[in-house]
Amino acid sequence: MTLRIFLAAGVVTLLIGLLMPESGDSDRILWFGVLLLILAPLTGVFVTAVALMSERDRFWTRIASVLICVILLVVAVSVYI
Amino acid sequence: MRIISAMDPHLMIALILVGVFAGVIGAMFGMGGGIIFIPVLTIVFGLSAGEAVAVSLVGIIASSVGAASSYVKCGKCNIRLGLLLAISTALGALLGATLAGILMDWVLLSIFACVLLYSSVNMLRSKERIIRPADDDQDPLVFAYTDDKGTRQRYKVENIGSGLAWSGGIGVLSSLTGVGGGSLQVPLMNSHMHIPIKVASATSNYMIGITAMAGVLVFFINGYVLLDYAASVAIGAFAGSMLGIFISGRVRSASLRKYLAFILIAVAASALLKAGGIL
Repeated sequence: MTLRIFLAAGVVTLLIGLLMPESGDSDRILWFGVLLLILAPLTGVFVTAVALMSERDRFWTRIASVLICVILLVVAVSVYI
Repeated sequence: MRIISAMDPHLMIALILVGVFAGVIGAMFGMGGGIIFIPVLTIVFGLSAGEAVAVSLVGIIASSVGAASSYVKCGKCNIRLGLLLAISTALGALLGATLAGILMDWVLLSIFACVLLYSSVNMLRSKERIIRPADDDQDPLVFAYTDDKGTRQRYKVENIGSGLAWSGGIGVLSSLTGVGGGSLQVPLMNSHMHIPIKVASATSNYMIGITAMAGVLVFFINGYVLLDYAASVAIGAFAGSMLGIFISGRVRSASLRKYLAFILIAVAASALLKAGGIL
């Protein structure tokens, strides 16, 4: 459900940005729409990690946490590059 | 942020249609759709390989997340295994995106053509490994899924270490060439890691979104994504993935797979010609 909400929000935002007349605002809306799309899989991982934690599934909660750390590392390296 | 000029409506519609086609193919065959995006964006729309990779990765997120949300809902996707393998594909994607900024266009196109040819051969062979049922309840690598007949089947994931290493390599190729990697990941999961093919396809779709996200972050944060192109293909890819899921339940994909393989060989040849400066 979370995946779908972020995806739908991203696609609607992109549609608005494309249909708006050319301006700095339309660029910002497109940028925000792409950001929402990129965040969709990340949010999915966060929600899964919380669900695993609530199931007290320690092994797979640890795996999900490692993946979140890796994604944060990717963000940090992307900013540095 | 780069200020973009108003997009020609014909160009926008053409890009949306490319996205729809790639989304349908991606959802039907467990791929991200990058094998369609890259050649069309470089050869037809004249983008550089680096620009096409960034736009393609955004389109892949739209198509794969759309398809994955449906597969998660019906229980075929093994989210736990997807999380584990995504650790190495995400690290690989980071390395690939970094290399994509350094390598020349002809090198990227040549690597893309090789990945495409390998995927085509896999499609033509399409050998499925039949998985024996597992019975160890305590092992965290034993999972279960419900098959088409409604029977609960258990399976044990094998060769996890080498599977992780290969997945890392697929992650590198994914963000280096802008393909989702599903056409490589599904055979690896089925043949090498002994995962039933239906679970492998659904899980691969889930992973593709995470891998593409890791790859596109480098391009996005540094402002290399052509926002208008990415928006158009993403809208099309999302609609296409929904259409692809609808179609896949109604047609036999085995024969379509063979035709697609021949199309991919032709696309690979075009990419090689473009890399050589002939096209």
